[in-house]
Amino acid sequence: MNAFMARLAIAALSATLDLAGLLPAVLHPGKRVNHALRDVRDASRGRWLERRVIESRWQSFVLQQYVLGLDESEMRVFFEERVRYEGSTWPLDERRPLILAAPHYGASGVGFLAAVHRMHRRRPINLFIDAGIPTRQLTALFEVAGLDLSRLMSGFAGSVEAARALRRGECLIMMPDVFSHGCQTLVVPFFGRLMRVAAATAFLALRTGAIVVPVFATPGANLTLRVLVDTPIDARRFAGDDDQQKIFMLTQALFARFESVFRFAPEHWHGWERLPGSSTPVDPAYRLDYDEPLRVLRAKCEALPHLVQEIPELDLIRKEHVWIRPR
Amino acid sequence: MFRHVARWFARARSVQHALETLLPAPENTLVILPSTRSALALARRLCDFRICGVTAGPITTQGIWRLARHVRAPQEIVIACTDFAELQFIVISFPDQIVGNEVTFAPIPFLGSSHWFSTFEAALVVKHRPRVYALQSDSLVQIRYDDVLHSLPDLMARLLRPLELELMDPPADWLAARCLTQKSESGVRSRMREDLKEIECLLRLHARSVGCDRLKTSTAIAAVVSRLKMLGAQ
Repeated sequence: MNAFMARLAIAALSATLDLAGLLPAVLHPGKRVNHALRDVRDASRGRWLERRVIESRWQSFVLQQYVLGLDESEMRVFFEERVRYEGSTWPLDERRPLILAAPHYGASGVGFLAAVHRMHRRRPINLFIDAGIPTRQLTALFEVAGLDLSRLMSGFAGSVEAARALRRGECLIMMPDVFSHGCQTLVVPFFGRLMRVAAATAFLALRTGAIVVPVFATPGANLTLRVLVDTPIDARRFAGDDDQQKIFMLTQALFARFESVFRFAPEHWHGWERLPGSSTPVDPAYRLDYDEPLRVLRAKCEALPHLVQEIPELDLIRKEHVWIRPR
Repeated sequence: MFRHVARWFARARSVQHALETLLPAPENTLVILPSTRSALALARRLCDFRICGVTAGPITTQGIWRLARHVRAPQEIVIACTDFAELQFIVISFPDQIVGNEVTFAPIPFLGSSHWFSTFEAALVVKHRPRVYALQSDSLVQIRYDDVLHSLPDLMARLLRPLELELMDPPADWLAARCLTQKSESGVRSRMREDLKEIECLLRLHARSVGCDRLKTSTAIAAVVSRLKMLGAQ
């Protein structure tokens, strides 16, 4: 797709957004997102979100198709002239093991390429992803850019190879909000809900002392890309606790970053439709962000008495005194 | 196409036959139905003519079936009839939609593997000894249970046998496939695993709170993690 056709495609959608509103939900991602958010507390919803979602998805798709049509030299020009980097880009120049943690947000595939370009292509790139997730588009993007991309499958062998790659100083790309199997997940708070997420990012970061850099790439209307490189999360600062607690805390910190960006611009995240299926709401009488977790835990235990019977240690926690933090 | 038309006529006839059997009977009965569109339509017709209590579940509570005024939780039905020798209304139960593994549920062999079903129907039968009917192969059959009253698993198996036979070759309009998967042993383990993961998350958040009893919290976390490993989650 050349630049003219890409701009025409974007302009066509902008001109027909009102007509697009007549599409049924099966063809309108904005309506599906709006519907998925109906049970999410404090979620921004409405017609404006529907329009922005379909606009974002279309712009991301067109941008990706446009970049796929470039050759290597044109792509360098694209990254120099059409990509705006924001945030602290110094982590990309770090020599330490580096994990780029990008959610499925906006034009994430092109965003990975932009981040690699910003690192002046100094490091070999590895993509660590679940075996069940298709990566054809991402692989094609890297091929067009003339970059070697090693694909590592999740699982024991893939994790070992990923750790080795990090220790060699290579870069690892991961998408912590994308997984195909719910078994190897842990639960963290996210938008006031308890959401299942992949634990591999935190696991590899702690094993290798890597820095985790959240990256968000959002498309612009004129075939531009905005890449936000968020403040890195240093795995070395999670010291003192046992491994499982460190994995939980690092994952929670990472998803807290995701949440803050998604609250500001929710239309770009591709995971809203999955959120009701991959998370559970907290009892409406409580809030994970305000309440002490103990109060939420008590409500959970009262709703699941058979679990408390099986695990008597939970009963001791239920009876623990609740310290009410003054607000 | 002819098979579908023939099936439609058979269903319509079976609904009519069921209404002719159930409506004139002076006593209130227990009716055990699969969660199919035609059975839900039968329940709706019954509710039009007699006072009925329909067990609440993820399917019967959907507005499309217009059963909202008649839907009650199983415990509510039991409590409403507890002071009386007989059922106070026709009880229509859809056991395949009700998911749980608390003390009011029991595992019984069903479709070749263990599934957790509510003991609600058995409790009503033991207390009130009503006539029990079930839908099987588009016809209403009466379930005899006098010889199995001494054993809860046998009684439950007897009451659910027509449902089991019906679901060996599930009708095209059966709506509770996902619910039945959650009632299986693997479904119950999966739900327990997810509940424990959430409890682990809350415990780990609590471990960082000021004033947290670290010994109790770390002990509880260790117990939950150990249980998760047994369930194959870590």
